[in-house]
Amino acid sequence: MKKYGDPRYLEIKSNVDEFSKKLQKLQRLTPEAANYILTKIAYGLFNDIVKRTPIQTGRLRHGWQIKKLNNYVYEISNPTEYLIYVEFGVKGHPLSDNPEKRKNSLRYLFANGILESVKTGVGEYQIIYHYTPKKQKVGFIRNTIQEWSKKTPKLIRDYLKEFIIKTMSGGR
Amino acid sequence: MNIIKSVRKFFYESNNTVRWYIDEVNINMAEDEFVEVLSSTRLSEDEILPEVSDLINVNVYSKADVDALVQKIVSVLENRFIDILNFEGGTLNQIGRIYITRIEITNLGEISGYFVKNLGIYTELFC
Repeated sequence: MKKYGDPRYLEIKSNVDEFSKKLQKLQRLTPEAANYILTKIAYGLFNDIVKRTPIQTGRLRHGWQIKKLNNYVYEISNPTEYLIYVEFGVKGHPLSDNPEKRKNSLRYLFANGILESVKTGVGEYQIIYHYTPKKQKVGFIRNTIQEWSKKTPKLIRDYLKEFIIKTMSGGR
Repeated sequence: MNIIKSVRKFFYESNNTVRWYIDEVNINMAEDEFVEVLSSTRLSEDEILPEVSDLINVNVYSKADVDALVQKIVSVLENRFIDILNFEGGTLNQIGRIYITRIEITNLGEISGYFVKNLGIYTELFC
């Protein structure tokens, strides 16, 4: 989600744009209240994306990072190179004799649950091929952002109430 | 399952000049152009908490003109809804509709000699 100039990221960017529009209501609040609500929403979205990231080796799920750029901007990113294949469900080369191409293709097939490695004994593994992918999680980022975009107006109201109560009780 | 079957039927019957891979992956990639459709991300079919919204994920692969193929797919979706049919009992009756709320096209660049574009088709269910 980092490289907004890259055309491959347009989909996610456009979802984020829609989400950001709903957050513009925060401009009417005091900076402290807006900051409080935005932090809650940013970390909530981040947690949901992490939770929904499919696991094969755990590398993709552990790759997520959140960074506060300023009071109003958070950056959620993941440098794992095969994220794009999992999110969009595209695959690279068919299984070829070229080891590099074969590695990329296999990585996709395992990440999407089309191939599955099952332990059959000590140091023994069996590879299972699922004709219909068993746990394909295509669109997990887009679906999460869409869901958060829908519930944001209600969340803003709830968190604002929470902030007011907290402020009135002296931050306790 | 009716939802998934209805989406599969809709795409499969929509254009017979397109090589469809519906809910399956084209392992061989032997054709000059083909389309992979994932009919549902299973949100609306979730047994514990089914959701009204879902996503149909379409990947369009072409060695020559990917835009022309994308145009073909988009023209299929022009009605903006897909009928949900009841597949039990022998006769196909309409039991609801899937409305297309948004289509987003993403350019995924060049992969293995193919130009690839993704269509994220956002849907909402009405029964």
